Amino acid sequence: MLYFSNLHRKHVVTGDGIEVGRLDDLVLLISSTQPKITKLLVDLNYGKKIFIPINHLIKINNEIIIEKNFVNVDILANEIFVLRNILDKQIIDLSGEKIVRVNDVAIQVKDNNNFYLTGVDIGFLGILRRLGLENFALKIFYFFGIKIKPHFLPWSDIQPLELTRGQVIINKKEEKLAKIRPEDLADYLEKTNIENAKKILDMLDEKKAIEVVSDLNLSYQSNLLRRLKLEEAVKFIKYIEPDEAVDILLTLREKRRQQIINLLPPEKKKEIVHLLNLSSSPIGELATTEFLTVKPETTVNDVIKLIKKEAVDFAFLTTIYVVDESNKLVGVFNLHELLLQEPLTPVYKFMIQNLIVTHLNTAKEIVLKKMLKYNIQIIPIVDDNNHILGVVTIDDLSEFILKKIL
Amino acid sequence: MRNFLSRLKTRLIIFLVVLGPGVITAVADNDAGGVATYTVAASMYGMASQFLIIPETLILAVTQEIGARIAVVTKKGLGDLIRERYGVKLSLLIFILYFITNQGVVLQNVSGLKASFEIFGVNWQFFLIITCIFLILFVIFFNYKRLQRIFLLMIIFYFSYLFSAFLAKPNWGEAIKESLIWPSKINIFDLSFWFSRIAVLGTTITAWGQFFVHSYIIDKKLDVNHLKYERLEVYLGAFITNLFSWMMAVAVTYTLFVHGIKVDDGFKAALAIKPFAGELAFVFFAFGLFGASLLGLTIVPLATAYVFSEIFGYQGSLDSSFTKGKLFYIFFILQILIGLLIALFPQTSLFKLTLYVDFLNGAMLPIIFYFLIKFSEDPKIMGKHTSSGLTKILVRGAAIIISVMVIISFIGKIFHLV
Repeated sequence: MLYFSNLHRKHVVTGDGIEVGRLDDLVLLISSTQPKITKLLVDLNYGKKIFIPINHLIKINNEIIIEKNFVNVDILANEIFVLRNILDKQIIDLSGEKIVRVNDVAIQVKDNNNFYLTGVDIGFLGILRRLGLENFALKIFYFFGIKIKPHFLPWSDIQPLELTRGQVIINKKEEKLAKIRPEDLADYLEKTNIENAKKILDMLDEKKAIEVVSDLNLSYQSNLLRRLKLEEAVKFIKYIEPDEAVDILLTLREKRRQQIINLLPPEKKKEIVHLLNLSSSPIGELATTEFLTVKPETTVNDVIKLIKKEAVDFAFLTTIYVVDESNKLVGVFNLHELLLQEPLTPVYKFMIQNLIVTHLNTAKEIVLKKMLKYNIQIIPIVDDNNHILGVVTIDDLSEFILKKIL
Repeated sequence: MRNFLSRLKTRLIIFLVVLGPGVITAVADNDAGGVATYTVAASMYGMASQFLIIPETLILAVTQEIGARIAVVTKKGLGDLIRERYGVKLSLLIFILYFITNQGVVLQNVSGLKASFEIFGVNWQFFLIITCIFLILFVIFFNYKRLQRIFLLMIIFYFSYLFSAFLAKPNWGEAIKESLIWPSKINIFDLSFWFSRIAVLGTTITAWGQFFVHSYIIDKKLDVNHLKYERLEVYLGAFITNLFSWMMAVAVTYTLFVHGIKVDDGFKAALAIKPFAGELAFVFFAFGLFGASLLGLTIVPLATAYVFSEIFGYQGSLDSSFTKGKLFYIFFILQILIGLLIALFPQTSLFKLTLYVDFLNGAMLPIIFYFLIKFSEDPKIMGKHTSSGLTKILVRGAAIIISVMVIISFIGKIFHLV
């Protein structure tokens, strides 16, 4: 997860190291699902400011690196700023009570360099981060054995239209406020997005609706499918990638699954039935329980200690999973990412929240396809509640495939 | 004619509805620290200590008006605007400075309260603790409307200064001539006179006063339509408060100054008045000190709590319950408790402390004026209510005069010129 305060005033350079300016603000497209960051407002060093589309961004490390041939574009009517419209603004609940101010803004990076605004930090740590004292404070708290975590309001609680009027109003009463921990932020957003997605589906044309649905996580897609009318469900299965569709269908009840399949166009139907038949060889057989889970606030130091203690007999360890208090899978990181961090950094700060998972009864072929598509060596198997049951490595899978070919 | 009368009546009613923030803030500017400064200055320089009181009233009126105007138009406190426009770092820095400054002022008022209990000859430790507890309970459990009534009633205490002024049998003509026209009793080129004069100005125009009038108007939830009346109310407040301080100076001048008795705090002044103006004047004077301390001790911690809530965005209103406005009330209580604890320790040197408080207050004023000018002239914030030509000049003038004066005053204090 990224914070706006970590990006603000960062140097912006081109791929070949030529300084462009400093990041002044981020522009986002207002939407009630996941607002996407669309542009960077860069303060050129001679005082002029330009908007650079986010697709010119190459990567963010100590500096923000953009493509050499970047362009300057205009801001659209339904776009707003992070710094100017959200940061430091007063948050008011439905009944007009003041709650707190926006201390920081959380940004999530998803596949293919897409940046989404996931929520606003309303905690004390947010203020410390703005003051540049976060790491120092964490060290002190660690010394005294206190674990301090940021508090967030998920984006889905904010009324996006009010932002354009210079107000941050949340669509709940203060008492009902869900103050979210960082590791659950993405999860919560996805969950409430089902409701939002449903609303949008009613209003939008097909193309846009499909786009919204493909934005959702696999398990939430299936959740959505369960609640939609049959005709609508069929419509989505039609457009979603066949192997993903099978995954979703397998989570539905037998009867509903058949109903949907029967209504599909013949060609699509054939493809899906074929894939469904494969699932007589479910992935569950190959699963191992040789994996490590840690809590989000565990520090890098403690993770390394845990590996030394628990993973002595493991045949294979590349990835560590993060689970929240209710044991739900919320994040993942690999050993490379772990070693790059400072010893006292809590894992929620660098874990990847956008998880690729599979289910017990998914077909092995489909799992293999998925792993190749996302280029991962190990995949977790989860149940309907997102509890991790086991993992499958690409080695185990390829052995199985090889046997089948020979 | 009848038409005129009924219109006057409606206007009067609206004015009474609006009445509160401007008068209370301005009068509370004459808190225990103020009383001490006025009496000390008057015992040394007589009515000349009130020389230039008319321009001073004008400066106070102009600076308070600008705060009131921003508050009524934007419905946002100075703390809100600073956080939203300048971010966390600067607003936190300002809050820390502000908290310390106000803590010092709170301490001055606790000491003022202690002094008035000592004058009455009662067990001051006991009464000090009881008063603070009641004060905290009142603020927590009473809503805005009731508290405002209490604050307005507390102003009655200040009338005792009027009585003690009359009892001092002053030479009114001379008093007016000395203060409003030209001082003849003292050497006008005496540098230490000017330092003392600036100290008087410094206790009238304060950092917390600028923040408080702002927050208090917002808590009153006044409408833009009330702007005209609110402006009048602020002017009235500036007039009343300086009338009180003038009367205080009269009471001291025609008892102590004419007999060449110099005092160094409000407590000694009250005791010294007794032989010249009689028991009654002495009691009135002590009452005045009691009321001034009590009002200051309530308003200044409130001013801190308001700004805290504004900067960090918590619910901060006298109308909210303790559970809703927890942090707001906690900051209010915290300042009183710290003040109380320090005052209960007999060894604290209040003189040194007053010096630092005045310095911090002085250091904050130019910053506050910068923000006030900046916000009040920004059409994005003020819409059609931006400062116009004359106000612009007056406020800038006031800001420059005050800033220069506080700096001079502090230099004077450092080198013990006073």
